[in-house]
Amino acid sequence: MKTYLSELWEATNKRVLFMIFLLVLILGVFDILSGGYVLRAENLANLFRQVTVVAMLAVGMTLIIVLGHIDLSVGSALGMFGALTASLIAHMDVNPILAVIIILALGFAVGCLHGALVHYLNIPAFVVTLGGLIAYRGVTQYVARQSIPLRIDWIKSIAQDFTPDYFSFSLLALVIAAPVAFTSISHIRLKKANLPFEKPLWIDTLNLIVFALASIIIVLTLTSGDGIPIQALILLFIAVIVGAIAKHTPFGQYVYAIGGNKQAAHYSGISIARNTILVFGLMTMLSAACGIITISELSSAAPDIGDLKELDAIASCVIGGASLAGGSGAVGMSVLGAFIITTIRNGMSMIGIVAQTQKIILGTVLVLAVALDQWSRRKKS
Amino acid sequence: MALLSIKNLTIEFPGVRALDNVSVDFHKGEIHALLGENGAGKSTLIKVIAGVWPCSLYSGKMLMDDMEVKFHCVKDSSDSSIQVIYQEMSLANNLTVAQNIFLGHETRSHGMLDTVTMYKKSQEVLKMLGSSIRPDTIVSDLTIGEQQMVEIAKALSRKARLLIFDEPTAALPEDDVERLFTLIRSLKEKGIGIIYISHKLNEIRELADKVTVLRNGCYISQYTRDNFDMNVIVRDMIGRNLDKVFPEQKPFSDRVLLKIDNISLVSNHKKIINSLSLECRKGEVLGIAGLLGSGRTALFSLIYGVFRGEFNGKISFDDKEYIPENPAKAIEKGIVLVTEDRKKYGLVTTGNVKENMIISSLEQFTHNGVINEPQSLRECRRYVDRLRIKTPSLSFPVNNLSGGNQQKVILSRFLMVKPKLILLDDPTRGVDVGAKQEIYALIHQLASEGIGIIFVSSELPEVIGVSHRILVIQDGKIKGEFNHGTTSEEEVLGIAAGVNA
Repeated sequence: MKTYLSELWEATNKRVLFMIFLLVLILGVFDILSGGYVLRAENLANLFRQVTVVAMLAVGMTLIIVLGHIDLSVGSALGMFGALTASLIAHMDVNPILAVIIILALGFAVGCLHGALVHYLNIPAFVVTLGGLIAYRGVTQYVARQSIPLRIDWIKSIAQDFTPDYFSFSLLALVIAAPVAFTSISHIRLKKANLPFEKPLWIDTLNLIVFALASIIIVLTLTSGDGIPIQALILLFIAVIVGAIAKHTPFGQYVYAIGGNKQAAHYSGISIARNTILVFGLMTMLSAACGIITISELSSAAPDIGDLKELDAIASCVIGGASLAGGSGAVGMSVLGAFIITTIRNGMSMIGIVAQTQKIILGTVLVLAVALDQWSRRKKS
Repeated sequence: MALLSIKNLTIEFPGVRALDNVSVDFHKGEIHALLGENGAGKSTLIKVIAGVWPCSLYSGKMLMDDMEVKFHCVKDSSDSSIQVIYQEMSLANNLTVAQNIFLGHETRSHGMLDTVTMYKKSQEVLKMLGSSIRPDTIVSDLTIGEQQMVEIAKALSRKARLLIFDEPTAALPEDDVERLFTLIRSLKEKGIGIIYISHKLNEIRELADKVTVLRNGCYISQYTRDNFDMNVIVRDMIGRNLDKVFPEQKPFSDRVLLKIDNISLVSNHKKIINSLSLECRKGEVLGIAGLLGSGRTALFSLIYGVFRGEFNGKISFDDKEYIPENPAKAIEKGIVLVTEDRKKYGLVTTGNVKENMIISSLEQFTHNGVINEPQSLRECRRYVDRLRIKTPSLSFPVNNLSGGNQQKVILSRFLMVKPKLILLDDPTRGVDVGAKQEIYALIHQLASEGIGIIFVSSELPEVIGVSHRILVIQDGKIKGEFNHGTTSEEEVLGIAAGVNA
């Protein structure tokens, strides 16, 4: 028994474990303090809706940070593209689907421009995107100087609707089945190739069971209320896709290599230009997507939407362990980071802590989290 | 009485026992060489003595003048008059010589920096070392040899009873080496204890009074100057007899792989290479001998597409005209470059062994946009076995490997792209004897598979021993050409230094 436990402890990613523990702890504490309100179905659904935008931005920001850069423009870009979407639909009568496609494409193009400026003109990303932060906010305030109302139902449903039960349960089945299938396939292939498993089979099985149980609890709680927010599905989809790209495609590996040692990556035949431009393109495209989600959530576009969201995104990545020096970080961890930030914020609102105090606490938590992380790393080495 | 005496030192890191019950004494006025392969424990021992690894990490004792000392950090050891001159220069390039010499213990008067005193004192120390460097020069304007001089001055400006030199000649041009040796001998005369680490055995023979050999973290043997036998010492280092250093030469084809026709390179208005022509055939090991700054590295940069400057002339590769643009294009054509500076241009230091190995050949393992994990792992294992890379696993951080194994990881990276021509720029720099021999054998094995190899090294015996053909380059021009076995070290060096051209 003891050897099994120590083997399990060896194979466990302590950072992931710590983050999940922290998240559960925060949820638990606030649930008790709020008299059992935080973990209720409607608040849980709310939590998912609040986290989506921050977590999606954190997904893109992870790649930016791994690459060794920073993008300060995401909040303003979110505002600008949100306002432009609303304006296209409400003022110019553009077909909403077409509008969404145009905006996403435009977001990608603007991001590529950021990347090109950073790479070809050698302007630090901090400066390029600081310019974006200021300028795009100006565009937002200009386009949405009067709040633009959205009257089309399906656009609003992106952020405001929930999945029906049959869909929720099918999704639950998929969320449980897919990792099981992937793990089995990878084990079979490794065995065929006569290669050692990274972790023993039983540990992987245990992980899958824990994950399945957690998914069941979350989905059952949500379906006891209105269902799963559509937003959460979008987040799940984006995080899984980008996470997989980061881990399992050459592009993803190149991003880590460039962030780790740009010269070495260049000498290894990797195109720095192409990958830098792509990462920035992806980031601003995600900001644009978040802009659309935000106006859908609010049913309108206002001049201040997305304000300061870049800082939440960066904080999420940092809490998730991404190194601002580049080369390390993980999409999944940044999403967890976003959940931690959002949960703290949500919980504090629930127990009636005022916004000013919330900010003081969040800032402190951010620095403490990183201090703790650095301390544990130093202890290990 | 020993100046510093190490007693039963044991230190363990996750997965390795880096030092195992090592005891050794260092005396004043003695040049004591530490020898051993990469990973033998020399660097660890130095780090313990220098306080990089704090005393809480090891068991055993350290005594200075028979009094036990415990270092918690580098400052402790520095305050106890132990100074280290590291292999990789630890100077701040943007500051002046004087600022560097006094970095961390600046002289003050009335709370302000006393620049005048620091300038004068720097000048004194430098003069004592026989150097005429001005203390107000910015460090980045100095040559590597001069930077090392500043490094030594910095060490001496503090109290120094024990000086540790960690591979001081690794980056040093040949003519500076002799000057360094003279200096080290004069420091010894002053009664300073010297610990000297180098992979170059001929330096040890010339310089050391005593040699201690470590292997796999254990103390193996100790010899004093009058009973140095290099064969015995090498056997102690690698744990077996090193019968033949250089492998037998295999014949090569007459098909020309790379043809460089009358090229000239200009960078910053300086002619680096001046109408140079050369040919490398399939299966040939072409050695290029030349001093630092002779144009040998520029030549490689040009072929690999990383040279910044003007270029004239014609290059053809595999019977087609080849215009270098960037490494991606070079690799696509089948040309790879293993650079001399692993840390800067080779390793992705944040990555693990596997990530570093497959980074240039990822496309091979990618199907439908997704990397095939088992296939890439299998390929990595093949190279780990073939090159005998010593690593606990493929997911081990590459930064924690020894220099020789890091070099092999980078070699694997470029062998995985199945190159036709390999440019090796000082591939055995900072690599131990055993691994060197393996690299020589590998070079010949690759050549026998029909790969062309151009080989540059700062160690002449290596170039002469390994290559089929040797070109001597001086001032950007080829000044001599020899077939294997038709020349000597003296002859090549004479031409390279421009003495008897």
